[in-house]
Amino acid sequence: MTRWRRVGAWVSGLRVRLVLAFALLGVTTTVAVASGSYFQARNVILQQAQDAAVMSLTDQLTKVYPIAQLPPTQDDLELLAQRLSDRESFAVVLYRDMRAQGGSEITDPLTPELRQEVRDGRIAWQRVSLAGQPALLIGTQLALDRPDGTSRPSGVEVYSVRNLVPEQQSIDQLATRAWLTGGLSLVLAVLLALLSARGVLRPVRDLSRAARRLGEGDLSTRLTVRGADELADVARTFNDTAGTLERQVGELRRLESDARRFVADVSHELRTPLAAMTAVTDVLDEEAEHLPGDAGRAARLVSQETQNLTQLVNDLIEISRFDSGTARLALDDVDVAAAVTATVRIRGWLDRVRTELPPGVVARLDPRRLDVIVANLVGNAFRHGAEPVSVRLRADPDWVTIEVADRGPGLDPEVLPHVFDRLYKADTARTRSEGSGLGLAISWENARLHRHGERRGSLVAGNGTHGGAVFTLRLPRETADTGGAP
Amino acid sequence: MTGRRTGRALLAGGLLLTLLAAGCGVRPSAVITGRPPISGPAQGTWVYLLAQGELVLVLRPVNTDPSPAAALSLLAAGPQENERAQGFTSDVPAGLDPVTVTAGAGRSGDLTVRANIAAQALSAHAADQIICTTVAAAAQVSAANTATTVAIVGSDGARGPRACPIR
Amino acid sequence: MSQVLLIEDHQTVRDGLQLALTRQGHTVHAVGTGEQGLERLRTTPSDVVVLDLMLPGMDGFEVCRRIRQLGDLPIIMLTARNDDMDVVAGLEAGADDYVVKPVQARVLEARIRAVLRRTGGDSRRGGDRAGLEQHGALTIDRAALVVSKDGTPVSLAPTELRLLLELSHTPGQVLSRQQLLEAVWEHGYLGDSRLVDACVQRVRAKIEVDSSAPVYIQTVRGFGYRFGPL
Repeated sequence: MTRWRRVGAWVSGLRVRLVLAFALLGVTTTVAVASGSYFQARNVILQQAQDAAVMSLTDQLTKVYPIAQLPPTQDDLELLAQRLSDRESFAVVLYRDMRAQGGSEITDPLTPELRQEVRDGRIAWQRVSLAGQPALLIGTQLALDRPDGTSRPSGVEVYSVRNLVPEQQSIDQLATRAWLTGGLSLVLAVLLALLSARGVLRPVRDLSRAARRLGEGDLSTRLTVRGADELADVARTFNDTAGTLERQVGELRRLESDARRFVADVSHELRTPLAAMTAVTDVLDEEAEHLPGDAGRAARLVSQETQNLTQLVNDLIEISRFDSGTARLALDDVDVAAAVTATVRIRGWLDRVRTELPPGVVARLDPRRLDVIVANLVGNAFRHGAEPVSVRLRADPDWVTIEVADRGPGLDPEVLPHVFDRLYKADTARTRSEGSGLGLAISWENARLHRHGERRGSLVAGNGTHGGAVFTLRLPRETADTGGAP
Repeated sequence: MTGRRTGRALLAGGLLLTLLAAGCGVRPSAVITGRPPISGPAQGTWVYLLAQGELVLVLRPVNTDPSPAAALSLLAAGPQENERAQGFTSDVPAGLDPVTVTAGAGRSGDLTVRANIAAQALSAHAADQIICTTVAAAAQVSAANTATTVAIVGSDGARGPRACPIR
Repeated sequence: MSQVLLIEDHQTVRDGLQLALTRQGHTVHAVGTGEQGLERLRTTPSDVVVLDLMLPGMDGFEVCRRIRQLGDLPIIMLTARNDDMDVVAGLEAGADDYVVKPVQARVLEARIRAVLRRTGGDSRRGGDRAGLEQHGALTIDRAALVVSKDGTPVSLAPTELRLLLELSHTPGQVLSRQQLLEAVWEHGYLGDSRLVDACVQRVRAKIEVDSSAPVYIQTVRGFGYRFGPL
């Protein structure tokens, strides 16, 4: 279907239409001119042949006079017929019932209507087809002069049958030339059409290509404006539009990167005071036990929130590193089951998580990032879902898939498209102490950072068939260290 | 739209090609007529005989007397051997000779043939034979033309005047 | 308990860390620049250096190299980020371990203790097998914690020595990076395998004839490292 549609589009395309129009124009003109001149030339040739034949016959017949005997004898007629016959023509002489013919095997070449005209007293001629060949019949009576200037028919009719094959050949040659001319002009017309179609279509093609490039995101695409025709106007408009677009997109990008850099800078600036504060949170925690009442609670609160703030700032810095494309993978050949087990064990979740981890799955990936992702997914499952939480590992030669599922209420369909958004809070009642709100966004970026050729890691959220949220992490088994493409 | 336009264009092109192909070569024509037939002088005396009920001109070798009377004498003698062989006949009785031809009294140029025959009893063919032969011969010696009428006067009275039906 | 030299340019961070480490029982001497730190090392012995990489004047990497030239004093880097080139550069400059700021005092304290354990004060692993071991041109004295190559003692930093002892303890057996991290660095969770890689490179530079074609410490791609077979 599509192929036919494409063929249809090609047939009704500008190029084909132009070629057809040119060809039609060329052919029509050629046909008109060629056929006009052909007909004219044919008529001239035939006219000349006829006139010459009539003249020749007349000349020969004047030599028959004076006529001394009427009625003629058969011998007289035969003699006359012989005299009037030559290579190109033969004569038929009639007198009443007598008939004599010079040369030629053709019997009765004469047409009744010609004989009628001759008997009625005119020189008459007619083109006929004799044995498949064109021939010219000329007929006349022999009349006798009278002293008063009038003449009387003698009753002797002379017909000359002239072969028109040479004329036919000339005319055929003319026709051949006409066809040839027509064919050449058709070829010329098609060539011209292709040439002009190219001239018209090249800017159109350029425009189409440029528009596609622009659509693919190459905003610096411009067209070379040639000439001052309508297509040049289109090209100019295109360039103006592309320029405006490029400026606006550039402005937007600048604003966005400014904002991101600001976040990154702020985060870095926050780090130094946080480093000092974090260093002493342990001191606060220890002292809080000895501090009475409010002072103790305040100390614990400061300690707790310092750690949360540290986590938030660390996450912001991590995110800003993804955005700026400076995030790098530290690849290692990792036994995935062991790595996941370690992640779960270190955080003290071993008793609460059902793991399904086939041993021996070795993949090349960044173990720290895998740890971050798995810890975040399992932590989220505990916080927002319900136990039991399960972690399943599957592997094929190309991919490693880790599925983290819980038995909670699952994800709201309205939330689903936003779970990986930054600082997105599905539950408005959620407090910040439960996480920075960047965990899933960082996990998503971490997953996508793993790539190998066309394969790229992914993290997908969904709901299981038995309820509960299911997060599926898919990483290429052989990650190439392509560095920080965002 | 495009399809219909293309179709029409193709149709027009096809029509032109057909026309061109049909008009090729030398084609039979109708009868074309030209000037009057070739004409030339005749040597001899013009005599009108009959063949299959029509007046037919025959030429007799020139004799010394080109007069209408001499021509009528030849007519009275009937068809010669070779003429008879070709189916020529004559209705004119042999008694026509002797005959005299005189210029008529009426309009100028008109002629009168006088002979000792029964003019009234002559057949129409015989009368025409006499009239045409007379006029033809008279044309050689006088100003007789196709409009010239001839009256035949016989023993039983006159017949005519009348012009030769062959013009 | 132990002498800690803290080189950190930010006053508050310095004060905070000094406060916390002192409470853990360490004797902490804190300075603000690398030059001061090196000066201090010349006059007063320390057991461990905690070194910030971002320093005014002489930067942390240079300080690290200078300290390495002086001897086998353990160095723990303080770095702002954990996955950039700073870590690799610092490890190549000779650091034994690193922590990422902001760091809680107990994390830093645990690393200090782990590093100190490697310096020979606690040599369980070396002590449970007496006598000299000969591996090709390499002689390992687990009791004296001395490694010599062709009879010449090789100067190894504590972590380097510990790594070599760990690997040579089971010749021909492959140890994964995570196993080595747990055994040598005492990292209880998924650690940074670059620590192992950088340390292996340093050890190779000291004991191998051609460190690009190692004989003693061989890389087993996809698994880890293996001592020998020779």
